[in-house]
Amino acid sequence: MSKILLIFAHPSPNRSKINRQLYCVANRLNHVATRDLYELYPNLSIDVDAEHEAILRADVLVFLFPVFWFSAPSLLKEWMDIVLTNGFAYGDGGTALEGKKFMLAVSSGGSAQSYTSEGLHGAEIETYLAPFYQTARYCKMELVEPFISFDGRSLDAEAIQQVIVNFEARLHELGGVTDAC
Amino acid sequence: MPVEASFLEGALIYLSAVLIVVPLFKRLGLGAVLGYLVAGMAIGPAGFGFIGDVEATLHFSEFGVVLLMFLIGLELNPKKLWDLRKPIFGLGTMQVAASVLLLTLAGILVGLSPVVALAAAVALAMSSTPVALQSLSDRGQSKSDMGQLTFSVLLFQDIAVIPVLALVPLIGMEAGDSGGGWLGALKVIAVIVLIVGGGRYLLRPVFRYIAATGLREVFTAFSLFLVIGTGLLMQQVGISMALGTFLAGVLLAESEYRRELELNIEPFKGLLLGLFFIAVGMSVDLSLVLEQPFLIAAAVLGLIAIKGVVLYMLGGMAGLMRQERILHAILLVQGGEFAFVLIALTSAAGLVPPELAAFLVVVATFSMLVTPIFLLVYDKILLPVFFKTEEPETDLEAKEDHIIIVGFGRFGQIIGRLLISLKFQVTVVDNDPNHIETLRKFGYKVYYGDGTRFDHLELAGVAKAKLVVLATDDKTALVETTQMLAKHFPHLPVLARAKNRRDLTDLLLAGVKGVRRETFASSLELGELALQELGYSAHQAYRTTQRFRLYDEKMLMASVRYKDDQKSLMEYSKRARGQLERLMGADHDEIYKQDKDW
Repeated sequence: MSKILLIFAHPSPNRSKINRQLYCVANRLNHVATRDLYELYPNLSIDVDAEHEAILRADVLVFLFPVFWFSAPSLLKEWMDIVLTNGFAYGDGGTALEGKKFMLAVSSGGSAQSYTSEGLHGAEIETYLAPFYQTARYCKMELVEPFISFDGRSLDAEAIQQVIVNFEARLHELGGVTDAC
Repeated sequence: MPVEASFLEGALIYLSAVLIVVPLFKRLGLGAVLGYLVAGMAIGPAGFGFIGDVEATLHFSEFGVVLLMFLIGLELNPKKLWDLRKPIFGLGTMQVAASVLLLTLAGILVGLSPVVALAAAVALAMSSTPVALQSLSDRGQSKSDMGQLTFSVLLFQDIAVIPVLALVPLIGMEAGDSGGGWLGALKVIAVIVLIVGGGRYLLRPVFRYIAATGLREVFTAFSLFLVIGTGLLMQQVGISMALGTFLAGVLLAESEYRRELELNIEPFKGLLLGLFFIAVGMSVDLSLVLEQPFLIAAAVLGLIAIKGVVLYMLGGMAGLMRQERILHAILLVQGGEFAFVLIALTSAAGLVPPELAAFLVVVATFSMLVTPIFLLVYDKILLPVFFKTEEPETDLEAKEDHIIIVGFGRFGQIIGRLLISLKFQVTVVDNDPNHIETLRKFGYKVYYGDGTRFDHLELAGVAKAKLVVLATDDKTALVETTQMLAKHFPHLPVLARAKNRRDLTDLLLAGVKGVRRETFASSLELGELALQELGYSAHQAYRTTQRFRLYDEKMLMASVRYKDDQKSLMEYSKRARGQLERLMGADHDEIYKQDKDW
């Protein structure tokens, strides 16, 4: 069984329709360790040591966030800036992430259609998420197919429930947990 | 005479009377003091007559007053006492002088000779320290302005008694053995030096030696020894035992064993004071009352009227609000234990005829009996009926889910302003009347009360609160309130202000949900500015101080964890300090490197 570290970044989770619930699902699973960045670091000052320790314990790294301006909420970028340091994540002796799996779990308010070459945003959503992929590659991580949900603001309760079920199944799959019950 | 009861039988009678009467009175809202007095009347010669030797009991239990004064002294260090010098000597002098003058005139008017009238006036002008202070602490107002004023007047009376006690024998009998002026003063100074020196250099090793035995009762024995010893020593040099132990308490207030002393003496004080009130109750000569009921009633009322007016005016001069002035007057209106002593003395000196002396004792006793009744009238009738409009707290409806802030000084105000600006329902509990007046002017909802008292918090609506913020700077109060809240409302989150690391530890152990050191954040911010001055960029300075904060708080939490394990704590601190230096150093290097890189 692989251990998953899920990094959650949402500055106002009480207004979140999907992310909060995905986070809660992950929280309930034994093989998933979660870190709610905005809750842990309300003043945006990250405890680098604590984050390094959490990374070293995990086999899989998951970023869970809502898409803000075609990227992540700013604290996740800050996390990358100061946690993925030279000598730890890359560079001389920087092998902490090497061989671990990496998955993005993002939800967007926009529709799937808007993220097409003909759509409003003019490109696939993964085009916009390229910096995360390249970061993972640079740290010699193994990329896993992302978990993406669209129409965040207009999904009905039933559809949201389906997203949650799918996410839980994905986390089981990633952790190599065969018996999903 | 009833059958001579052995010591244990006597104790059993006292204790049963207390057990039956006092809880009943307390439950009926009549106050413990009145309960003791009535219990005394019941078992004394005037009642069932279980106990015959009232004199001995009274004498023995007066030691309760001595213990009380010692404990009060412990609460007041020399600096606080010095701050009180104005009310003590200014208002105290005025109270004694005006009361004596008016009472003497009243005595002359009813046909006493001037000398006799003066002697009686001096005896009755003094108030009862135990009655007043017990009532004050029952209401949790010892530290309010009114409480301080009451205490100051009492203290001055204790001081004023010294020359009176010295003068009476000069007029009547032979002088005591206090030695002449200079020699006497020298002795007093020598004893004070002994107490200060002993307290500073001897007390610590002795306490440590005793603590090492691990025998709690030896500790208690030593505490009692200390009080009785200093009391007798003071008496030897001509200071009354009560004043002497009070001074000893003040001098030991700075000692690190203050708390232990307090804890050890406290139960004795409580029991002996109870006994004292019982003895006063027992000493009521009901036959005299039956003989001249109207005369005694008139004398008691006259005494109360004269002293009451003087005290009420005094309260006004001290700037108290109207209802506080009334309370202050009620608390001090009675004749006290000094009346018994002074009447006995003047009667023995032949100044006051024996029949008048007996009469005066009854008057003093009844005035003491009446005090708790007056307090009851004040609480149940005066306050709710007449001061309703002036006291918004009585009609303050506690809102659902409101937030209680205890202490609204500079610290609490900021929290209050933040929450109020966000439209949260905030109820403030503060025990500084002046403070409250100002706040009300600015439209705050303020409840006058003592945050350490459960009934006050209940009145402020703690049962409906969803959060309590303790923002006073009184650490003991903070810890007590936290424990109380944790006991009665285990799910109610409590946040507290801490003065320093040690208080923070104590508060966390007492069960607060969150706690912040009162100066830490602002010190760090100023430190951040200092770093900017030293060439750090603004953000880098912020980042660095935040990192410092993180490690400091980690170390602090570890020290909470290792609180009872000195060795692990030392080890951890050493390791942590090295780590901090390394980390902060690394940060410094990094900035330097980045500067080079970019």
